[in-house]
Amino acid sequence: MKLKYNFAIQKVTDFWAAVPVGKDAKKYRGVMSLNESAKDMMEFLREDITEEELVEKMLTEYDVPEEQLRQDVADLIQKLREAEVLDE
Amino acid sequence: MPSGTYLFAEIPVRIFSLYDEVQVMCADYRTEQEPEVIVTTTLEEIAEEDRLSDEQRELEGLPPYKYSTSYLETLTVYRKIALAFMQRNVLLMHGSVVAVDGEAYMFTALSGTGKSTHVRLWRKLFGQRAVMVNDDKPLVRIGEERPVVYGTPWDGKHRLSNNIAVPLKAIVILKRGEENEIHPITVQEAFPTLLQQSFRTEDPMVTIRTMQLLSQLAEHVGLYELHCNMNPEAAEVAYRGMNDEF
Repeated sequence: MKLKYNFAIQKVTDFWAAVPVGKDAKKYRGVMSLNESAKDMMEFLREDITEEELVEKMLTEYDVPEEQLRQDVADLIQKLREAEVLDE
Repeated sequence: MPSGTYLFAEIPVRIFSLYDEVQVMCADYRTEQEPEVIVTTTLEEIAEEDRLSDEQRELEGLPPYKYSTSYLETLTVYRKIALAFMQRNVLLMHGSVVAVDGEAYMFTALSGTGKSTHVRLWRKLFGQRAVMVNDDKPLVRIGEERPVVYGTPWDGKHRLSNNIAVPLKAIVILKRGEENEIHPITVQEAFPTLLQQSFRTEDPMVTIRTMQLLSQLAEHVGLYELHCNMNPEAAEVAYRGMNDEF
């Protein structure tokens, strides 16, 4: 899976804001607000990656229990699916 | 070729245009200063503006409208100014701005929500204490301290603006409601509307810059959501919600 659009991701005060940019971006009018780890997941999702690979990549960067990380990855993927910005 | 130099948000801009309309519109902003920004237009760019305005109207659910070429040129000029100004910490925003006792309040919302109508209630309520900054597309200078909002001649269909600079106290996201009610909101809550009502292009780097400027802006102004009807009382409720004394 990978992101359907090119996202511009920028720190805004105490959160990260992600918005699609480019010609197609107008189809999606929303802004996603993300925490630090969700922001890193978005960066990995710019390239095609499986959920399992994403979990592994995040485990090397974050010192958190695997259980929790799996949940965070699943939550973000769910959020992206609902926003219809994921190609699977 | 018509040309002139004008001072917008303290930045001198030389405009070379194909039509007179933009020069006439900017007459109150003339300056003798040497330009820092030079803007030119082409017929191709003006045609692109026509396409963009149709696209925008479609997004807002409005029928297409055939604007005059000279009017479309005023939009092309402002788009170019807005792009050049971003690197100078000045952001073009869409909203109606009124100053009361020397402090500015920006009301922003989707087109047709009633920004201008609400601001008219403020002018009625405060009389001479209220001064119109800009009813449509003001410029905001963003930095380490409180932002400053500037009048511009791109001021909406009622042509309401003054060539003044006023510290920006608050940005109010306006929604229609049965009752009048105002409350503070977080940056995260305000951000989607702020971004939607700020200048950006399809270029990712421009969007990044817009978000950087908005982040800095949001740290130095009050952010509120106002639900309001069209009764005069709405202005008083809004003002009291942002000030300790009336």
